[in-house]
Amino acid sequence: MAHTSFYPPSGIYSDSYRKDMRIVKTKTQWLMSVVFLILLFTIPQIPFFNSPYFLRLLIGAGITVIICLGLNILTGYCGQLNIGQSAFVMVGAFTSGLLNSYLGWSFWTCVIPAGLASAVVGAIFGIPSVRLKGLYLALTTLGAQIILTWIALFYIPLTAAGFNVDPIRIGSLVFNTPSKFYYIAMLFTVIMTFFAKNMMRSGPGRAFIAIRDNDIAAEAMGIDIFRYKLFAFIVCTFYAGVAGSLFVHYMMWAHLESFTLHDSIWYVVMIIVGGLGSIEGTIFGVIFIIGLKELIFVIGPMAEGKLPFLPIGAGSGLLLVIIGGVAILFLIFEPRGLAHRWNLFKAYYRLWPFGY
Amino acid sequence: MLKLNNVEVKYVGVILVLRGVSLEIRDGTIIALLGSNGAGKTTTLKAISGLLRTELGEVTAGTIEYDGSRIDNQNPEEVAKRGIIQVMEGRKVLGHLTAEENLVLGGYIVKKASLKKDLDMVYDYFPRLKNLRNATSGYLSGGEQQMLVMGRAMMAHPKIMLLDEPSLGLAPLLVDEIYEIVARFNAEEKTSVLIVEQNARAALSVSEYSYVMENGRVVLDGPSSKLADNEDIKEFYLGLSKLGEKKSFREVKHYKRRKRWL
Amino acid sequence: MEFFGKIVAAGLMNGAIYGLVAVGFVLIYKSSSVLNFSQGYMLLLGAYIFWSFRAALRLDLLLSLLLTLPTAFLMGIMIERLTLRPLIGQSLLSMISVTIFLSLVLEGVVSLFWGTYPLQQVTIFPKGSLKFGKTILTAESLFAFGLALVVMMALILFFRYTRLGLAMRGVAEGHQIVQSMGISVKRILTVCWGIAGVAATLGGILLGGTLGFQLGLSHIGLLAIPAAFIGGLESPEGAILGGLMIGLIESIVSGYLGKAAGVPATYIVLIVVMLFKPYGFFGLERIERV
Repeated sequence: MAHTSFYPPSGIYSDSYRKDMRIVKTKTQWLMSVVFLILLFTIPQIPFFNSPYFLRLLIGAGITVIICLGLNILTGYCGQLNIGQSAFVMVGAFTSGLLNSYLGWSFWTCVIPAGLASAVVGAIFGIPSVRLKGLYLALTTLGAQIILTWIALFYIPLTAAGFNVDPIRIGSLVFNTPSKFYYIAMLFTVIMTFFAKNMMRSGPGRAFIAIRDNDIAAEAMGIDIFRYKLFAFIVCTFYAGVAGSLFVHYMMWAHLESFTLHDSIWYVVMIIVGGLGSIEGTIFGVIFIIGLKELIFVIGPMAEGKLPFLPIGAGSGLLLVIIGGVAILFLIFEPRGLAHRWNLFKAYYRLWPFGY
Repeated sequence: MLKLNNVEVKYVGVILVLRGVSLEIRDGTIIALLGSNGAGKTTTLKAISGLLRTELGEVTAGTIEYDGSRIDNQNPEEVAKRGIIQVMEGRKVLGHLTAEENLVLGGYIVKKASLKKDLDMVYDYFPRLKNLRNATSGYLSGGEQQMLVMGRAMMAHPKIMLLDEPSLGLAPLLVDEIYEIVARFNAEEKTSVLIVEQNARAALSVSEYSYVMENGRVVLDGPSSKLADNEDIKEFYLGLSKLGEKKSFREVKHYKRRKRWL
Repeated sequence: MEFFGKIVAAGLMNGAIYGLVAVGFVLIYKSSSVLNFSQGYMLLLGAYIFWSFRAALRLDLLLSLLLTLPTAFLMGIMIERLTLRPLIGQSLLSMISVTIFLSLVLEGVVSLFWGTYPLQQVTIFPKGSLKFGKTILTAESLFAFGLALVVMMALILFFRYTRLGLAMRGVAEGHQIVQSMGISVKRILTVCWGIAGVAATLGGILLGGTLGFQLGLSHIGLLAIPAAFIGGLESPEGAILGGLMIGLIESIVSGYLGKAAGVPATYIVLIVVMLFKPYGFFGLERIERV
């Protein structure tokens, strides 16, 4: 789905599968990617952009991108709707937090176990996919959200009330401010994005898409759908776990309230607006929705002040109405999301003046 | 009278299926529409009945007129209310409902008062259905289901019935039975019938006039009796070789008659 | 034993309300294959509209009810027109997603017009209770239960014996088939959403009377989902029975394991049931003929 309207600039062709699968296909793209990465990592040095507020926003975006990448892999590429993603983030967050609190492990030794813990839990909730499809499977993810929250609330000491977590260290560097943590966040975001892109352009990615489009046909072609569906769940929740671990070591505090059903729904909104089945789309969607949210957070209270007849809480209400409305409009008018618009734009640009 | 004038149909805006189909159904006649798979016969029926829209299809050129007014690209409900009812191919019964419930729904657009009378009429045409009235329609046999869908169409007192491949998958004796009923229905209720069929023999025998379609066009038409004698039809649709006997593939060397109408 | 009786009674009462909301789910699913995740929020909106008539405008109970129900019907219709109609032809994922987003919008609308704080209490039921041996049943519980049973009966009769009910069942079998018979699928879907709106609102009013009119009412939607699925998504009667089952399970588990264990327990049961009986207890099996 991400490859519709895919027009390489003229003169670019591939004469082997390997070449065809390249992520970066032209010299211009190489240049732009490198420039972008350099820019990304030097933002904290740029005067206007390095306010703690803005950096915090970017960090949040980065972590959310990781969460949504995982979600897009499961829901966008593999077609299994998952409305419990934030619960899996929670598993990773608490695993990492508890390992740190109880055993004193540093972030770097916590992050992989956190991801794995989420992956294991994700696999458990992926097991019903052997019998359930589509809607019914989505329900089990809803069940995951509810059940995992309840377990965290009652059965694990400390999680209900919240607990403290150490910040990330490398040697003597402590990453406990937004401008310092920014590098860690972006590092992880870039790495995870690259891994996702790489995985989706190779075997598993194609298998996921086959399963999404017609799973019975996929099975007839020899793709073991249960194994791949489970794999998709595992990848998705691994990403969630890693993001959770990052999150917890950034906030230096872990508590249930950061992982609600609402959040799970936001993540789905982001990948739909951005574009299901597209890595770039995930990034677009996250940035768009977080941007919109911030805008309304700023405008909401101002509106509440100016129009006193609105009841208390109208600001948050407005937020929901607008974002929900935007999401619905996207579904009606551009169900393939921003990524599709972006592809169309690129195609238009490349084909000009022949675009029609 | 139903008239199609150079009808062009496209699916999803790009797939051209009908390339200028013209045909005429006079009141009270039985017309056959023949052709091999993929010729566009079902699409023609759906263009008339309005069911194209749910499949992202559209009449993009030409007109379909019924009794002087245009009915192309209308909602299927509107077309049905004007008296044109399509019996879709594949014996699409409302599976979980009983046979009688299917029939009752068939008469949905007709006044409630005549319900009992209409049911009796259908059971008169299809006595077998009467015994099966409370059976779950999804579990009926193929022939019974075909009778059910036709009876369902009859309940709406159609002026034109569009029958799509009624003989599909049915035993030959049953096919004859059904065609007898079609002929009877046409004679008694004065309903015109447009039959789409691959079973050319049966269709030619019951109809007065026939059209042959290929690749989205009408390539041959004429009174059915004449078509039945047409050499090309015999060769390609009736399986008869030049001498009027069944074709023996053992004798086919290489080339066989070319279709004269291409 | 007395405790158990009390739990069972409470469970049945709640279950009746879950069943009522689940009925709305099932109606929509049956006719359009869409699972309406925003059912709980339709409940919220409907309940708040009732509150406006009753508490804000201080109208008489019966009048409030008579004004709210048609409004609820309209709400259902408008939601269908504005959000589902434009999406016809798109994938099921889109349809389900739109109901998920709709829940955000509805919550927002409610917050926007009524604020996020709980609203003033409203009495709906006459005070009073009955004694059944050692258990005391409040009037409101009995009322809720009774209403749910009445709705269930009405539904069974509606679907089996009326023309419109039959048409709805027909639509559930196949949109195209039914269109060829002259039945307007769009109109039937609209009516279904209208009825779902009314069912949700009724549930909301009952709940509001007992729990108070606050945002938490929408969480009942979360409970009605297992109810609808366990009962079988194609059977409105099954939905009410499913609701009762879920109510019982939730009540029993809550009683013995603590309040918050109730909802997760219902979801665990749901997952287990779906693994063994994917169509629920009363759902219609797929009729497959080769």
